[in-house]
Amino acid sequence: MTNRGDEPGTPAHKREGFEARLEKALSRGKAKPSARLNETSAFGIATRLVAELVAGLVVGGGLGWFLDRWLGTSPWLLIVFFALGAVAGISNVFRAARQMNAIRTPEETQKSDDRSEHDRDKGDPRGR
Amino acid sequence: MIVRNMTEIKGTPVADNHSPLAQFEIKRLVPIEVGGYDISFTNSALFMVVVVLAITLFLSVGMSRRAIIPGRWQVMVESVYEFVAGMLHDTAGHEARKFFPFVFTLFMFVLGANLVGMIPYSFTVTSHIIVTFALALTVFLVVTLVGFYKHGLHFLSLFVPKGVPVVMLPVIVIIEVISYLSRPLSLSVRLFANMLAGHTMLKVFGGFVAALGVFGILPVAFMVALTGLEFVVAILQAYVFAVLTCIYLNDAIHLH
Repeated sequence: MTNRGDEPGTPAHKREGFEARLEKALSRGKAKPSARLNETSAFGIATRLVAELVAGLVVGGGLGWFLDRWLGTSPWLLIVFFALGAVAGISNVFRAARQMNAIRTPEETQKSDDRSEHDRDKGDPRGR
Repeated sequence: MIVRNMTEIKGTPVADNHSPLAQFEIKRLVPIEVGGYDISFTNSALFMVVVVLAITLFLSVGMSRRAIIPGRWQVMVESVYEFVAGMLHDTAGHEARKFFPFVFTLFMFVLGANLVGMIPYSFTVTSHIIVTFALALTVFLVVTLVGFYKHGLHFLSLFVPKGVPVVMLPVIVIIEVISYLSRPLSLSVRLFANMLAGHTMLKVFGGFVAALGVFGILPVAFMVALTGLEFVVAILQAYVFAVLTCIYLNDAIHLH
């Protein structure tokens, strides 16, 4: 019948044609996931990091205490595992900090240009 | 929810009615005991039911008309859906779409519990660590099972970082295991601590209002701002809980 794309007042995304839109939707599906965590408030960052540190210490200490009770080696494993838990907690903190920093790396600022464009088009609720 | 040491809580009242901590007290509404376990229907359980009903109402009423041009309510429901779907997709990739119901349920429950807790005289379910820990443990178990299901024993290579000298390997593996086991704890502590701290702070400032008399207007002004902040925290913590679930799922599915 008529070519709908030429009608005035047709939204831009309709003029693009079905094939192109399908292509776009499919490629969006295959995009590589980026493990990023947007934490906006300083309080949020602080609680996140503290929780990571404390969790490592508690799990390490608890594991040592449990093994001590089980193997009857008190208090040696508690001491060893507490230290290991501290290391695990600190490495957790570094990992979490790196995840949060990943948002502000140069790669991100480079991308931010086309992303903001994209967000404006779609009214993306996640746009920051 | 099983509350075993209820008698202890009842025997030693942790807080009187004016204490900032009185709001967190568990009260038995319908005492039930099965096999020595106290599984009474408590105010905590009641508010969990309220949260689930509120979410069901929000979603089913919002989608009841299924209009092509959505109304206000339908837009809210659809944007929540889009938000969670996008978050899951961005952090855990295409294969994680199967877990959408899981992540969406978690997100909605935590968000609902946090927001219902903002209503005066209500009870904040997520301010109890046993509740958040149960949620976090569910996430932990699901992620671990998914990892083993997808990769078999190869999933254990998660504990062996690349490029580590063989001498250091035993120590590193133990540290990695501890770090992995600490996930449910950090996940639950973060949510619980945020909710507990915020609600206690509001109550403490509420106490200042009465104590300061005419100058009580200052803490009132501060509390208005604080209440706004609490709403942000309620939404943000639900988001953080869900996004960390997605990150853990990503680890389990893609393995490094």
